[in-house]
Amino acid sequence: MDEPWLERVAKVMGARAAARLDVERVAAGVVARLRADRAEATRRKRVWWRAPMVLRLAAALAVLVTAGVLVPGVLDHRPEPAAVIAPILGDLSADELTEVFDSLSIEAPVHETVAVGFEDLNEAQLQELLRLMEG
Amino acid sequence: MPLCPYAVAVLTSSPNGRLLYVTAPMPDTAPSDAELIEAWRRGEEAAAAELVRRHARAVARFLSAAGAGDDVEDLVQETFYRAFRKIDGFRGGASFRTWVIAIGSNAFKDLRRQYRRRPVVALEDREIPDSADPHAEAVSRELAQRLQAEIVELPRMQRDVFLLRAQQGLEYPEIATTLGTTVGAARVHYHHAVQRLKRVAED
Repeated sequence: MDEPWLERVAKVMGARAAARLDVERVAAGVVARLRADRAEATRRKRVWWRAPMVLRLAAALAVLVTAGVLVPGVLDHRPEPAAVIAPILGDLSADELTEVFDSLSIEAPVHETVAVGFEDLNEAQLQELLRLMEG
Repeated sequence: MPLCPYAVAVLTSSPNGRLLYVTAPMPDTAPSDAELIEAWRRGEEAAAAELVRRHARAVARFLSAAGAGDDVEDLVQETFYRAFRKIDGFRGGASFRTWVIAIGSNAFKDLRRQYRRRPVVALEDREIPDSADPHAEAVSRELAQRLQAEIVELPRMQRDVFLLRAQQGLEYPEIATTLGTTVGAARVHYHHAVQRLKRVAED
């Protein structure tokens, strides 16, 4: 037995199975499965875009919250809030300070009714004020 | 003069003024595999069907020789289904047919794993060449059966290399590209396969 003989035998192996194959049926089956896949992909896309707006907003919110958790860790070198806010607050009048409180929905019972400037606060009061503003 | 359907007739005149009837081969208008693949990527289902028609029998021959038995038709369908789903992975390093055959080999491996307890192959007379084949007369039916059984039992890489070369007539570089190996390794696998099959035949 030589190699060419083996190759001749190999060449005829499977020939009858190939001849019996219903090629059109195979082609139709393949196309049908591929078509079903595409239809499914289209359906999933539609489901997403038809989802209630609330779901999409929830997803967006989740992304923002995740980013909010991750980003501060990256920006550890940022300045302390007090260092940024204190000079600004120091320049505000009592009325302006009250407006800031209002816009932030922060109650400032003590200072709201008393016309005091930022410079009138002691250190403990200033810390409390900053704590309130930082939430 | 009758014209075959694959020729076009051109009416022209010779230097002496007589009309000449010249035929020329009709240009091959069938789209190439690459063109059909592009058409499928654009979403043309007919292109996918045409590629199946072109190559399904070659894939069936390979899978049958590898031992697919009665599962050949299902396997061929699964093979082409997988191929079209990951058509973007086809880089053209080998022919489309060879690439699909390699996918078929993987699908067959998965099937064998799925039916691990099942006998690997059921040798049937219908897979043995009949007397109408010129080579079959020189080969005993019993010997051919033993050889086919041994091909099925070869390690997968040896089997695939042997069938791609001996049955599909591929060259080593294309075999190596398709199976993700080197030309040298493909030669070694083929050599081992041939030696083992020779031993079986000589027993």
